Order: sequence, then C-alpha cells, then structure tokens
Amino acid sequence: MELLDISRITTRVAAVLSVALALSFPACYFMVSYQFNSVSLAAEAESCARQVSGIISANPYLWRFEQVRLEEILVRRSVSEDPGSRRILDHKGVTVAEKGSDPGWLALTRSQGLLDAGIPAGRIEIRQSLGPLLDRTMLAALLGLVVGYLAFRVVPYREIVRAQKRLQDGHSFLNTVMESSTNAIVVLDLAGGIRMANRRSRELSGYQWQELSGRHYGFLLAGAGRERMAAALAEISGQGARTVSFEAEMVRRDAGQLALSCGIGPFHEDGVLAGFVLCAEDTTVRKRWEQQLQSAAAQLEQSNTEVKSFAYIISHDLRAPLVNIRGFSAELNGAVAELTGLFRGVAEQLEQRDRERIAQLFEQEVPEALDFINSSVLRMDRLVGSVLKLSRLGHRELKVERVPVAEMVAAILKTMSYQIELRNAQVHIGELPVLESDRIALELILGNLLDNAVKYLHPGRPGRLDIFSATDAGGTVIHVRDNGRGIAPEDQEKVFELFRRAGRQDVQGEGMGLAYVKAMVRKLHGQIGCVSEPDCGSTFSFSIPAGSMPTSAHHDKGEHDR
Amino acid sequence: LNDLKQLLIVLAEDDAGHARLIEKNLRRGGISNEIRHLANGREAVDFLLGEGEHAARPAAGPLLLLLDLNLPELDGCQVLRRIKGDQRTRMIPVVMLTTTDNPEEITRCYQLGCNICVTKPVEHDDFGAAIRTLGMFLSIVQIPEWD
Repeated sequence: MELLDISRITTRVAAVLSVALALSFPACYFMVSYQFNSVSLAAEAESCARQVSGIISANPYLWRFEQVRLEEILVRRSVSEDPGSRRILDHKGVTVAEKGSDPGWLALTRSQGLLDAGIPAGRIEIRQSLGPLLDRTMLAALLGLVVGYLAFRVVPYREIVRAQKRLQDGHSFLNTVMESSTNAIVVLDLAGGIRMANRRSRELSGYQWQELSGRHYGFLLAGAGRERMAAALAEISGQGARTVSFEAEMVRRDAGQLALSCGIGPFHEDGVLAGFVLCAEDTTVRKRWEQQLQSAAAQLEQSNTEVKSFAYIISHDLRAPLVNIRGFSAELNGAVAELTGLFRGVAEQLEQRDRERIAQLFEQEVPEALDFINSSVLRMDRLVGSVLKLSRLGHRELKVERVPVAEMVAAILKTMSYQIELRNAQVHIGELPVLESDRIALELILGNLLDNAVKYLHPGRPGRLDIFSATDAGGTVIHVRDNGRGIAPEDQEKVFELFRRAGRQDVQGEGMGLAYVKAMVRKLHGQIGCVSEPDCGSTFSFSIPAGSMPTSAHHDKGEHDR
Repeated sequence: LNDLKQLLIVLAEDDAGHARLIEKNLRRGGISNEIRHLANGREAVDFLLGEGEHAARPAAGPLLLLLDLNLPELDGCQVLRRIKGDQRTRMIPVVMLTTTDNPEEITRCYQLGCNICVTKPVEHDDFGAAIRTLGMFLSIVQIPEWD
C-alpha cells in the first residue's frame, strides 16, 4: 500500500516536471532568440542608417543615385544569416536600394529614419524572416521533450528502484516462507491450474515443478479428496468463504498415498478473485500415531479390565474353597468332639497304649491341626478381602467437590479421641487448604495416615502430631508429622507395599493401610512419600496437584462386570 | 408352619461342598423340608419353569429358591431375571447366596427382585448364624400357592 502511494506520487511529480521542461525549453529559446534578433536588427539598422546618412549629407540631392555604395552598405554582413531583406526608402516612400529577398509576412521588421541635417530624408528598413527561428524553436521543443522525458524517467527512478527492491524483498521473503515451510503450499489459478508449488509440496507429491506447472490439481488427489477440494473451491468462489478446511488423500508420483489435512483460501489481484492458495499438512504419520495410541489405549483398557476381573477372580474364586475348608473343618471339629465322647465311653475296654494314643490324637493333634487350618483360612480370607477392597478403591469413580481439609481432619481426630487420650498425645493443626477433590479418597488418605501416626507413637514419651500444608501454583502438599517410633531407612519404601509391615509387629494391622493410601493418592494424580528417623518420628507427605481433577471423572464400572 | 413342611427347597449351587454345608446347616437348624440340589443355572431354570429335561415334571407344591450367584451356563443374575420375568414363577421367594459382600453385586440382586441376600461367610459360626437367619426367614415368609 505504502509502496504504491510513494510510486504514484513520484510519478506525478515527475510527470509535471517533465511537461514543464518540455514547454519551457522552446519558450525560453524563442523569447531569448527573438529579443536577441530584434536588438541586433535594431543595432544593424541604426548602423546602416548612420552610414547612409553620411552619404546623404555628402550629396543631399543626388544620394539616391549612389546605388553601388548604398547597396554595399546594405550587403554588409548582418549578424544573422537568416533570410531577409534590406531596403532604403526616400522620404516619399520610394525604394532607392534593396538587397535580399522578401521574407514574407512572418518576419521581424526594424526601420530607422534617415536624416539629412536633421530633416528626415527617408528610412532604412530591415526585415528578417522568423522561419528559421521557429524551426530552431521546434528543435528546442523536441529537445525539451527529450529532456522532459528523461526527467520523467530519471526523477522517480530511485523511488522506483527502491520500490522494486522492496517488492523483490517481499517476494523473496514470501518465497523463503513458501520454500522453507514444512507444509505444502500450492497456488492455483481460477481454473484449478497449478501456478506455484513450494518445495514441500514437490517433496510430498514426488513431482518436479515442470511436471506440476499449469496442470489441473485433480491428478494429485484421490477420488473423495478431489470432490472435497472441488466443493471447497466452489464454496470460496461461490459463497465468498475465507478459508475452508478438509481432509484429503494425495496420490504420489509413485502411486503411494498420503493423508493430508488441507486449508484453502482465495487471493485477489486488483481486487478481483484471482486464484486460491492451498496449504496442506502431511498427517500420515500423525494418523498412524493416533491409531497406535488408540490401540495402545484399547490394550490398556483391556488389561485394566483384566486386572479388574483378576481382582474379582481372586476375591470370589479363592473365597469359595475357603468356605468349604472352613465349613468342613468345623464339621470335622464337631465329628471329633462326638468321637471323643464315644471314645470316653469305650476307653476302659482298650489297652493302655492304644487309649493314650487315641486320647492324644483326639485331644491334641486333631484340634491343633484344625486350629491351624482355621486360623490360616481366616487370614487368607482377610487377605483376599483386602485385595478386593484395594481393587474396589482403585476403580471407584471419583466425585469432585469442595473439601475443607481442616474440617475433615478435625472430624477424623474426633473419632480417634480415645486413642489419642490413651497415648497422651498433643495434636497441632496448622493451616489447611480447601481442595477441589474427592472427599472419600481424601478421607481414606488422611484417616489412614492419622491412624498410623497415633498407632505407632513411641510408648515411652508423650505423643505429638502436626498436620500442616504448603500450597503453591503446582498444588498442595499436606504433611502429617509424628514423634513416634519412626521407620528404618530401608523400610521407608516398603511400607507402601501390599501386606508389608515394618518394625516390630506389636500393633494389629493387615499391612494394607498405606497401600490403600498410595493407591488413592495416585488416583488423585498426586504423590506420596515419607521422611523418617527411627525413634524420632515420621513425616508422611502427599501432594494434590492443582487442577488435576477432571470435571467428569472417567467411568469405571464395578469389578463384577467381567 | 405345617404348610411349610410341604415347601420344596430348590438349591442351585455348583460347589458341591457349599451345597453340602448349606444342607447340613439347614438340617441342623431344624429344617426338614425336601431339598432339591441343582448344579447349574440352566438346570435350575428348566426345573422351575418345567422346560427341557424337566418338561414332564409334575407340578410341585410351593417352593423356595436358594440361588448361588456364580453358576455355570446361566449365572445367578440371569436365573433371577428369568424367574422374575415369568408369570408362573415370579412369586417364588428367592434367597441369593453370594461369595463376596460386594455391595454392587448385592444391590444388583435386590434390583432384580431377590427377597434376601446372604453372604456365605468363611467364619463357620457366622455361616451357622446366616443359615439360622434363613430358617427364621423361612418360618416368617409367606409362601405363595403354586398353581
């Protein structure tokens, strides 16, 4: 725009200047030459008159017969060589002497009176043709035109050169953009012929520019894509759409196909739609990745389902035989009790050795075996139950709500007030945030951490619990610190594992609490860790990242859906 | 209670051990009714609806169904759906026996119309208690007439 203005203005200035030059050249020349001629003519006339006056005064009556002398005066070379006439007239207007030819009507005339002792005796008249002067003026006009034209060309030249250079810069910039673009860019004319194709489009298609130039784009696209492209062109030229996006398949020179994501828009020349610019991105690899990602997600989904059904199988199918073992060992117990009674009745009839052996079997060995069976079954049942609970927790659907953590901690501590009093423990609650998170998950995390903190307090000293938090842009970290017995460094990772318990086994527990906690923290996209020093205390810290909770949690069906 | 002596107890349970334990505990709980044991879901449906190999079965009197959730061929839920979906059998009281106490499973059973859910406890005393509950249930429940 700016470029155009500048060149327009300079062109106008140059045009005015050129016209002025073309006009002033002949005008000046004419004026100057005319003045010069008329002055020199006048001077000549005066000088002639003086000489003729000399002749007249020497011979006042017969001077007009001195033809030879008079003509000699008239012949004397004048300044100008232009044709003209000179003549001497007497006081009656009769020509006495004449030289030269009549220059016609277009002539410059100068006359000078002749005096004889102060009395007018005639006059001398010099006429000079203006033709040659006009001819030269025409030449000057031609020269003016030439100079004007040159000025017209020369004056805006710098500007034009600059504008051209800027145009070239713009062009080379555009060219660089096009050529270095990782997208294919193709310029089409209104008929769909290829006017320009950048490096990337040549690479993608496998064609040389010579093979593309001027051809209709159709051969580059597969059927459906060609139709979509035609529709896009119609939309732009028909309905004036700015840009249209569509997907298409490109047919390469080697007949291979590429998936393209295309955008096309119009370009104008002198305000009129002149063609289209097509930008296309090769999405083949991305499509393949998307497919791989989808299949990976499907596999993950499947293995997730498998894990769920595995948890179900463990909990259900392992439990069914336990019911039998437990049931029938109870039956056995009953039978043994009955047998013992029967045996007492007949014991007297047996030999001493057999009696003692049978009594030992009935009263010690069989009940002992059954006890072991029972306790193992119960333990197994608890473990199975724990695994099932973990699996259920892991697949529970999260519900995001506003959770004031301080209130939650206070409520949990209230349910534990008896144990806290028993341990003579002080609880300090620091600043705690209000989180957007799942209430049940947080309750389970905090509940287990607080329960552990109280359970594993040092028996020999008053307990102290600190619950506090730190929040930054990344999220919130909540700490639960105790001055309890602590965890040995080598056990600090182990405590989060399933069924693992660290330290002296003098406190009741399944070894599941921290496994649940870890599963829940992970489900909330957080992390958990502990810092501990044996005999000094432990600090368990978990993070809840900001904005980690999706507004609609993904759906997990119950583990019975297998 | 005299009427209840006529009640046929149909036990659909694929685990022979469980079936035997349930029977023993029912007997111990003072239930002397006839117990018909069926080992899979399809057979239970055939028996109750008088189809398949049980097509020629004479119309039985009132009955009660003890239905295990995990059965081969047709599982407990499918059997329940069939029984409750049939005019002739939808009034039969159904006691679901589950191996786990998964709340979702239990909810589903109640949604499908079972009368009571009993978790098979591993703890033998609990099991006895559960069966005794069942006995009490049997003495209270109104058994509709079998037509």
